Amino acid sequence: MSLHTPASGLNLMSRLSLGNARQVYEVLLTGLATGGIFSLLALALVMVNRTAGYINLAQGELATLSTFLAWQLNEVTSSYWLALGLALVTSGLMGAALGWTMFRLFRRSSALSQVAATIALYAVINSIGGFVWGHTIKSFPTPFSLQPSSLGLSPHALWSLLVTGLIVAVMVAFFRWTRPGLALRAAADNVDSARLSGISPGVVAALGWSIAAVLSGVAGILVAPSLFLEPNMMLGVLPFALLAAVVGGLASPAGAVLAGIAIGVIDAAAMTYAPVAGRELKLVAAVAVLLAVLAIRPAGLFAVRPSERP
Amino acid sequence: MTAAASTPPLRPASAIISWRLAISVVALVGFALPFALTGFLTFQVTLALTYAIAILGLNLLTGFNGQVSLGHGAFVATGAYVAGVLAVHAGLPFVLAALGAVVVAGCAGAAFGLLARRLGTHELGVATFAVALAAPQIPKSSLVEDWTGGASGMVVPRLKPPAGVPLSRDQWAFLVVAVAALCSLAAVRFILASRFGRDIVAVRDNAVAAAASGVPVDSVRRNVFALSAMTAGLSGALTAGVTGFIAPDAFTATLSISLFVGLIVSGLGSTAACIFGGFFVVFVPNIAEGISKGLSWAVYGVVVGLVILAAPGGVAGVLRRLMHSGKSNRGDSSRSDDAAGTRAR
Repeated sequence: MSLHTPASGLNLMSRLSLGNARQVYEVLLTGLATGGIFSLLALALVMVNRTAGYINLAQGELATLSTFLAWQLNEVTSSYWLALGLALVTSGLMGAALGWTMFRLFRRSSALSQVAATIALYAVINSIGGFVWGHTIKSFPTPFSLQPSSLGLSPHALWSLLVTGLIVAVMVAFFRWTRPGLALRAAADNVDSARLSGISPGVVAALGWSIAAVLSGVAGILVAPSLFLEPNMMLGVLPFALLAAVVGGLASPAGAVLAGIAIGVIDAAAMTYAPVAGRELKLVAAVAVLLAVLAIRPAGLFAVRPSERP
Repeated sequence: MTAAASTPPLRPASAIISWRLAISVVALVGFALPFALTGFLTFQVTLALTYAIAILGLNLLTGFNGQVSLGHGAFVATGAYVAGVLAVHAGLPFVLAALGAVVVAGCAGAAFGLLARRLGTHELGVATFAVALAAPQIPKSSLVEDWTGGASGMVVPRLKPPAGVPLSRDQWAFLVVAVAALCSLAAVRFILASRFGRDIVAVRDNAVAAAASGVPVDSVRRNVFALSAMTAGLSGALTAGVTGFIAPDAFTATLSISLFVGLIVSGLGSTAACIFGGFFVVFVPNIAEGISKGLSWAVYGVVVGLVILAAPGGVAGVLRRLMHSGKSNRGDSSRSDDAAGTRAR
């Protein structure tokens, strides 16, 4: 196939055919890497939803805040790895403190007021981030190259994929084999019974928030080199994470991860094969998919609706 | 219900008269406002009223029917763009363009309501929020750019007083919006007082019990979504007429979130108090900017948090507590906050 054939139906057919397996492979890998980021943030949303009982609309801002912290620490220590570690530890502590504070302050508020409280938190973090670090864009460092290698993916994207996979594995192990993991699952299943077994809902909320803050911090730090670091960095990422969390089922961590990766792959494919729907109407197309999924499975693809007495 | 209604309320007649008097005075002062304020302040008050209309529609949906929407800005945008396109490309007068906007927004709401009625609170919240996020991309798209002006927006005819009326544009726009707001308020209160209104609240409080009593739960939910979207569409059409300019960036997710915050501030299950939500949406960010330019959104966030903590039932809850003695016979309205909270949980 010549590089300069005019776009025609036939040309499109041949582009989609197996003759271009390399392109399909690249689209898949790119999608996996982006999807991994969506998965991490979606997982964070699911964590807070399961442990605290509301959607945290400020999760993206927490990710940006962690990334700013990492940037600052990298400037001070000039070591990527030290900055990464310190930023994630700080994020975890900050998440716990925020989760505990939100619980103490708003535990008697209605569910909708709690969502409004996370909106308030969004405004506060976004504003403070802009105030402290400014609104000019910063480039975020990475020890790996951003140029695509012969594998079809940049070393940084491979690193992102590796980290995402590792974190998901750790999360699965944590929930399955540790006591705090079991406590979190119990609290998510039934708050009242969990409380009767001596599990404090405030501690659970703080723990959930803490894990979510680390997860979203990793997502922010991994995505920052390919975006630019500024207070609204996650504005374009959070929507896809929200979609992933709902498509996967807001109570299902595994669902969130799978849906995040699927959305990443579909997004990459749409950018390559359907330019109008994939770029200009990117969000519209994504939302259409979300609504279609919800029309068929109202609680998400991987949700198991608990049988409840009204 | 009839028994309760026929029983004379146990409150002094003077209380009724004084409240009616107070409301009339407020309304009169309200209508006199544009003649006492500067042009810009009148304009801002007018905008606050358009937001109040959208919040009223949102309250019908969320406060009274228990369906969350974090995306009502999308319906406001629908109203604004339909009114704008009808006025510019079809040359319709404002009233007809606004009517078209209300009809189209209502149809969009009914269509979305078909899906919304099946979703849980959290799923619906995210789904509506996603719609709000995606909505600005539609008028920007190259497919409809010729109609909507793309990312740079479109100029639409502003509301202007008919020939011979000695009012400025801002004053006229205020009067039009104020009348529209009062009509919406009357319509919503009329609906809530009707049998359909009882169905709306019954579906929120306990959908299973409502269904068992013969309430068509699904169609009630869909119809409320349509009504709510119609109100939002009216708000959008008025915004277009008041500002004379519409652009996708005026209808981002921030608008939807502001309306939701306005709803919480007004109080779930309130009607007239929605005006406070409208004022909150317009004026609190300005005040916050006055307090600290760099940290204005932080101030805004803190104010929102404080309102939630100090007034769990919003402004309506505070007012209700203030006039508690006079309101004791209206059990349903004073309970609605708690009920809305329980349903949302």
